[in-house]
This record gives sequence, structure tokens and C-alpha cells, in this order.
Amino acid sequence: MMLKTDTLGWLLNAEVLLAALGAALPRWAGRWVWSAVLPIGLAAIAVRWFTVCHPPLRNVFEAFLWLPPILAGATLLTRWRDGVWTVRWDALLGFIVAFPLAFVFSAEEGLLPPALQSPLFVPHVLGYMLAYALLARAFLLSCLRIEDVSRRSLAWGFFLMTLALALGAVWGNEAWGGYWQWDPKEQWSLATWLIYAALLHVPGKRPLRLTLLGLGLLAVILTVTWVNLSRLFPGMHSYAGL
Amino acid sequence: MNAVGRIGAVAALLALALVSVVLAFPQVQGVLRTPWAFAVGGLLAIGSAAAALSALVRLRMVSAVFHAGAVLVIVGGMLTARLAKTEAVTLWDAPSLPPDYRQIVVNGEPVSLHSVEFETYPNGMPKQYHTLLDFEEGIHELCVNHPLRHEGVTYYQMSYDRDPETGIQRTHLTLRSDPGARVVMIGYALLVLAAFGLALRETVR
Repeated sequence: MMLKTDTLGWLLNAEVLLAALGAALPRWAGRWVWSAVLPIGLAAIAVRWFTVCHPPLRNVFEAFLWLPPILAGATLLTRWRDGVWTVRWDALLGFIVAFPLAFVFSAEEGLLPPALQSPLFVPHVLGYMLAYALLARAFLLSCLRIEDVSRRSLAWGFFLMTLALALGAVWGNEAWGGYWQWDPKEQWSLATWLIYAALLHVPGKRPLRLTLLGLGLLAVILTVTWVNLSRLFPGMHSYAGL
Repeated sequence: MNAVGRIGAVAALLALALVSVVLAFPQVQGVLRTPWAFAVGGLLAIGSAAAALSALVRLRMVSAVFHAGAVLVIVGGMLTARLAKTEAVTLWDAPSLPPDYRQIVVNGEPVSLHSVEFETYPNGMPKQYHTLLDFEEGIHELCVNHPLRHEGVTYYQMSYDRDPETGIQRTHLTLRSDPGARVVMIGYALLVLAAFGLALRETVR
């Protein structure tokens, strides 16, 4: 654990605090506090982008940077679209992702190697980040029986995941001459996609639907953390050591 | 889709997810080259095609397009496994060396290394490396993420290094022809289109 004390660090520390307060405070206060994570999170991304001179998506730290503002934005979108505040639960998810950002992941800067210099880099990685945030949200909202919003979150999350999967294949084909390398991260991402594809075949039977949503989220968490970070799974997507 | 069909689809997809996780270990990936893998792929393609046709008959277009996309991805993958050709090539950037070190023959045409060019960051880390190849009709360039497509063969820039003994720069390329790739890409496009249709349907509902 380490406290980051540069400009980006303080923005991240603020995100953690605001997410914690957003989850803990009554809704009338929590919504203002949590909504502030959107501009602060975007500012954090902008600071990092300016510092490293490339879109900040090179490693797990930079990928996670996008999650808190995505979640805060999803809260506001749900409020606008459906008239429902999902502050407490989105803020809880936001706290879960902001905490390792601020205190665990290394913020070491790095340059983009040739392999990452592709116009498909940003949409592929960002697509996955957006998808994972929405799919996590879908599970949480289904637990809370906010089913309409959960279904929409799931549908858009699945679309983004499918798009990111396809873009990864296109990128692989352009970079290496192979649209599928049987890389561990690819295999786990495919497994995650297949779980959600299975979910789409389940008509509103809540216990099974909730189980599959939970299984899918578990696969997402394992893919992003264990598979990415473990030396057990070497491959082109391995961030072990970063 | 009736209840039996749904249960079958869910079970098949979850089983595939488990298989996908197991295939993350390189030690078991040899099974992909066995006839069993093709048999399973064939069954999956037939199942997806049946689902696509069934959906089309009932005018469930999102489902039809989705399953059609799945069929193309599976069939394209099988075409790749059977018909794709790959060759790793190293070309040395030294005019003094014999032609074998600087030249390859592709489809009867000699292709020579013209030069290798590098871009680096201020700290010396590689930013990009370009290989220029001499074909009969002229010089063409390729670099990472920007392959060169020429007469049915695609040239990919994989890496570069220096020979530790002589210090001569070498460029490492992969030459590939893959009739399945285009089929797979069309399949992916259909999957994305269908997933978008599904999301749109949920939004306007």
C-alpha cells in the first residue's frame, strides 16, 4: 500500500473519499458527492494523458483510471433515463475500483511499445473497461431487483464486450497475422463472453439469471486480476511485473 | 425457442466457457490440432446454423444474425486451422552477406530487404521499426500494426534485433496467407451488429 502525493495521486485519493461518502451518506447528500467523481475522474485521466503523452490504457493502473468516472456517469445516465438513483451501489463499486488505484497499483509511467501503437488500442481496451463496469452494475442492480436498468446495463455491456472482442481480433490480425492467439487473457475473455451469451438465453427466471450474472462478474474479476497479474498465465496480455 | 432448446443452449455455452478456460493452459492446446476439435467445431457450427434458421423462420432477426455470425466465426476458424500458411523469416541488413540472408522467394518472386529503419523515444526505447522490401515492381514498407499485403501474402513486422556475434541488424517477419480470416471478420461484424440490435431493443422497450 502506498499513498500517492502528486497531482494525480490527490485526484485518486479524492475519488476514493467521495466514493466512500457516496456509498455511506443519505441519498440527498450522497448523489452530489458521488456525482463529483465524474469530473474528478475525467481530470485524473486528463492529467495522466498529459503526463504520459498517450491515451492512458497501457497497463492495469491506467485501465482502472477510467472505471470510477464511467460508473459515476452511468449513475447520472440512469437518473436521467429512468428517474432512478443508484448512487449507493454505484459508489460502492466505484470505491472497490478506486481503492486499488489510489493505494495498490503502481503509477509508474511508461511509453507505448510499437505493438500498442494502433488506432484499435483505445477502442479495444476502453470497450472492455466500459463493458466490465456495466456488467458489474447489471449484477448489482439485479440483486437490488432494479431489473429494467439491470437488463439495459447487461445489454449494453454485452454489446461493448462483443465489440471489444471483435476489435481485439482485428488488431491481432493486423499486428501479428493471427486473430486468435490462444492467449490466456483471450481465453478467459471468451469464457466471460460465453457466460453472458448463455445468460441471454435465459428468459426472466430470476434465480438462474442472477446466478449467471454473478458467474459472469466472477469471470470478469478473475480475468482482470488473476489472469492479468498472475505469472501462471504468461502471454501478450500479461501485466505480471508491471 | 422452447425450454429444452434453451437449456441445451445454456448448457452448451457454459461447457464451452469451461473448455475455453482450460485451453488457457498451453499444455492442453495440442488437442486443437486433433480431428476431435474439428468434429466439435463442426457440431457447433451446425447447431448455430440451426438456431439461425429457426430464428429466421420466426422473424427474430437479432437472433438470426447473431447465430449466423457465430457460424461464420466457427467455420472461418476451421478454414484457418486447415488452410492458413505461416512462415517466419529473418532478413539481415548487410549488403555484404550472401543473397540468402537478404532475400526470400515468395510465389516465385524474389523479395529482397531494402533497409530497416528505426524510430526511438528520447530514452532509447524502440518507438517503431519499419522494414522496406524490394519487389519486382518497387519498394514497399511495413511496420508493426501496418502489415504489407502483396499478391495474396501478408507480411507482418514481428521484431528486430542485432546478431550478437556480428552486430548486424536483423528484421524478423512473418509471412501469412489465411483464407479463413475474412470469413471470421465477417462473422465478428455480424455478432457486433446483433449485439447492438439487442442493446437497442432493450433501450427502446
